[in-house]
Amino acid sequence: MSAAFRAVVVRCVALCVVIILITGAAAAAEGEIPVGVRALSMGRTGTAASDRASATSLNIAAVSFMDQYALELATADLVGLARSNYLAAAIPLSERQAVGLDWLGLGVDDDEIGFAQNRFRAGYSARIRRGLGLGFGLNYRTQRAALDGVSLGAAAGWSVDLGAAWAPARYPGLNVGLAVRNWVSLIGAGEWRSGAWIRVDDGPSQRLVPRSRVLGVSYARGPWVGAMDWNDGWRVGVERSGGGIGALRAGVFLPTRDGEGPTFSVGAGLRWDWGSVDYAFVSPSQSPTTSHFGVTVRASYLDPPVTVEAVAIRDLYPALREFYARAAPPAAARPYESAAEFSGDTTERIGELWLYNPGDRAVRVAVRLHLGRYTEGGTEVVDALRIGPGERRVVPMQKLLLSDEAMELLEARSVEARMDVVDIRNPTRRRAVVYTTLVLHGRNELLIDDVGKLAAFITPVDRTVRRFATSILRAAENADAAEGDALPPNMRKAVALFSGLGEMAYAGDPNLPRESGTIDAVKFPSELVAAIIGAGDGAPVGDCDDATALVCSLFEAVGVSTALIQTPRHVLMAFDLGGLAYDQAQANGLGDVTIAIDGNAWLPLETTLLRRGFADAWKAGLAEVAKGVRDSRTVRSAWERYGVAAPEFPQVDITVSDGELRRRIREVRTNEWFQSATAPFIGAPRTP
Amino acid sequence: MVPISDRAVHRRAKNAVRRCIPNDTPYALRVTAWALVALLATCASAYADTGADDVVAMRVLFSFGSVETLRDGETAWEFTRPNMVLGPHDIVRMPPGALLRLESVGGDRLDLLSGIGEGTATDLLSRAASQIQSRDPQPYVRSAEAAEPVVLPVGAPNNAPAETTGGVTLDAATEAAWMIDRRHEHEVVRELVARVVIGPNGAPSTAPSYMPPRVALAHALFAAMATELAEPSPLSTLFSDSDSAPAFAFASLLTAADVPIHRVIDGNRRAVILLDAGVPRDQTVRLTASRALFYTHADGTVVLPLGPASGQTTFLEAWYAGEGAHPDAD
Repeated sequence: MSAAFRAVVVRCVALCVVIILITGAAAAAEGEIPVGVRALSMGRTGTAASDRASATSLNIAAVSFMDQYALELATADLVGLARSNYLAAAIPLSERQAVGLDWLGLGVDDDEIGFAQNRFRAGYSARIRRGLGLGFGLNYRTQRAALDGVSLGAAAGWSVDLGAAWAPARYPGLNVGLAVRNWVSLIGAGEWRSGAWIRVDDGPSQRLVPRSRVLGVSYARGPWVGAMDWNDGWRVGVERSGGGIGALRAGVFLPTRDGEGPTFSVGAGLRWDWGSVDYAFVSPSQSPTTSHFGVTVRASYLDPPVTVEAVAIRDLYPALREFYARAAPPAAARPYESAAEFSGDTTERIGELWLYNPGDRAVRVAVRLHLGRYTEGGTEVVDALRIGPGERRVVPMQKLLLSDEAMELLEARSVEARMDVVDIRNPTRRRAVVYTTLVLHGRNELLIDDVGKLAAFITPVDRTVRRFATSILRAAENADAAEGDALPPNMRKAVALFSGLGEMAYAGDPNLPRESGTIDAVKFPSELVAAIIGAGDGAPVGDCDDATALVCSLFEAVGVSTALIQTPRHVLMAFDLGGLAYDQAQANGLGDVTIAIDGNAWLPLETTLLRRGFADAWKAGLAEVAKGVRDSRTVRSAWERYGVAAPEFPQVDITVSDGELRRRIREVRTNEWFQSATAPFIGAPRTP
Repeated sequence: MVPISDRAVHRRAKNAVRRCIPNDTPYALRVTAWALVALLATCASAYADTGADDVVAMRVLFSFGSVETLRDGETAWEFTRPNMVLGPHDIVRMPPGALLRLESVGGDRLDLLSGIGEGTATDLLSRAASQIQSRDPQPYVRSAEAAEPVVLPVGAPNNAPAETTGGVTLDAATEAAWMIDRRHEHEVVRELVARVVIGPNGAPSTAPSYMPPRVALAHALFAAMATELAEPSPLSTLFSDSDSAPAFAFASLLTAADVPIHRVIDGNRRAVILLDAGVPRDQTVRLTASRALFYTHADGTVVLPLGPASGQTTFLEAWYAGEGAHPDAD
């Protein structure tokens, strides 16, 4: 049993326990006259879910899930003696609230006995959370009896119903309900008793119907619906839909009281968009059979302002949270002729909706996208878009705000996306709701089809990064003083930082290939530093993406501008020498050891060669660039576009050995190639 | 210099006014009328120019590599920098492996150019667009970046970095032939030179006007040579060795056109042509901003090293292929 399923069960049981504790300790026999033709044909189930107005009686809480106006009429000839007539209505007040009204009339009228009972019920139901609805109902009963035309008296009384319904979003199709029928009655001034009581002609009160508690579960999957209720026995029913219009039903009620036999039922129904016709045949073991007929008329509460003909939404990467959150340049909604043009794909950054306005008036719609807890109540992805009468528009989603919880995802997960397309003049009722699914990737996952996206992992403000960078520079000050300060400040910092990294036990594959255009897992700098410290000496801990993100983060943390460079199967970085114009660099003999970025001289570094030192990384960087560059971006321009994903990481303490660092820096500065390449900085001629 | 279109505007305005303002009109009225006409004509031409600029002006967002720009009306090349606005007549030169990210001044379109090329930003973008449509292997890649941040569809075959052929490695016999080749005296060569030099209008027909004359001529000769060598022709028959033909043919054409060159062999045994650019030492910015593309002799001669090779179609490719070949640079 999975943890998620266990959680659902625990919550379900907890809910039931709470309500049972409120309402009483034990189950009691069901005394109400059963209503709802569909429920009757399914073994008198219907507590967990009902799409008929009879939910008012079966479980008032379920009315708020209906999202439609419904009117249900039913009639039955009970055991050949009495006729029952039933009329119920469900009226939505908003998307989350509804009221239910019903009337049940039971009458016997022959030559000797005259009997009539009427029950009026008015209930209110609200969804307090997305999948959880609660409700209560008030019952008023009247009863009168006569014998041979002589009245035997009349009676009336009030009682209260309670209900709860739960549809866990994680398990579509599953519904759980708990109904407490006739919880209490008001007998007199301040006197409450359980069950439904009536007072006879201002005389004595008597309990007409005992309190009953019904726990129900139903599950719909494809054309099948199964339901089970329990109070004074087991009630089990099943429905099989077919052809999009018809349904066959069967059920059984197995009472737990001694001396009672099972009641079998079968039924059928025809359903259209606007209504349905139902029939139930009930066969109790100890009384004659009964036929029930019912008609339901319904109309959707929601009045969609447009038709959503198609939806295409991309898989999302939490690392690009800032990118999604920034409004895209206003892209015009383009027209289309037919939904047949829809290919299922989208070129938009988040996704697109294909909207059609079939009406004869223009509408202004907004679209809100909900990804459960990953969007904290949803985010408006389309704002006040006008769609003229008869127009079809492909509408790009502009921006999306992912919650902090998305940044905690370590693995990809399928997420249900709900889109509410609302008329901004009447967003409560004029609404179309569509659902789709997408993949929300883990925070380290990224589709690097643009090298600039890697900038989301470059975190110069990360505490570990800042502390590491500053401690290295502090330790390197003495070494710089010893070597003189002829080199540009940015290069001195770069040599120190690179040497500081080389001190660590990092030995990644120098040319670990990065499959371009595939989903890559990139470590945040803090994660890579922790991995380096935790790994054995020489153990590879990352690839070129990870190393580039780390080195760029360190450089940017101390104010050295960096750039990302993508070659056919590799990623490396470059840093700015400090605003040295490239023509000046060429004039000074630095043209062949630097590269031009934005007209200035930059120095490329192969970041996976940490252990081999700065000079080798520089040489390798030049060689890599010479092979051909596919794309490049300065990190700062990439940040402008993609932002920085900055999850919180615990600070990693790194000890920098001053002596070892100075040794490494000296090693770089005495490197023959390095001295030749940097000779122009100290006014010496370059060695050929 | 007033553009031709502006001249036409002025001429039409003048003609119209001559008909509307007879010579016997009082002097003060005529002056006022002419001033009004001049003002209207200026406004009209300015309006026309503004419209054109709005259409094609691009802002540079990013450049990688020694991308150069020659401003319209200027004579000095400069390295391209961010936020530089490229007008419709500004020339952009991109070396192999270069990248240039542009945004239209209106801000509603982003384009990425990559690889070798020279022309106006509009030329390069339209060329890139046509190449993407034809899906041919190409030196330029354009990508609409309006929504999805796919700048370059990484891994796509049309995104391969531009490769330039870097000159021909010669064997010993060819080395000797390279130094003493005299096919520039051949009738086929002289006829082709005559066609290019004279041209239908008495000047090299395909030479860019912004280049110094000698380089412009070399540019035109290279284009003609590439066309001739690409198909059966007298020139391709005369220079039948497919590997070294461009180097030999181009050297012959330049010599026949009296363009001063030296034939040398560099350290990699490549045939290199040293073209005397014909510009003074202090005016090298008329050629390029990149010091890797020329060198100067002690006598002040500015020399362009060229590495013609098969597969090249433009003078620019040969020029970049000669980059770094500095046999006797000072």
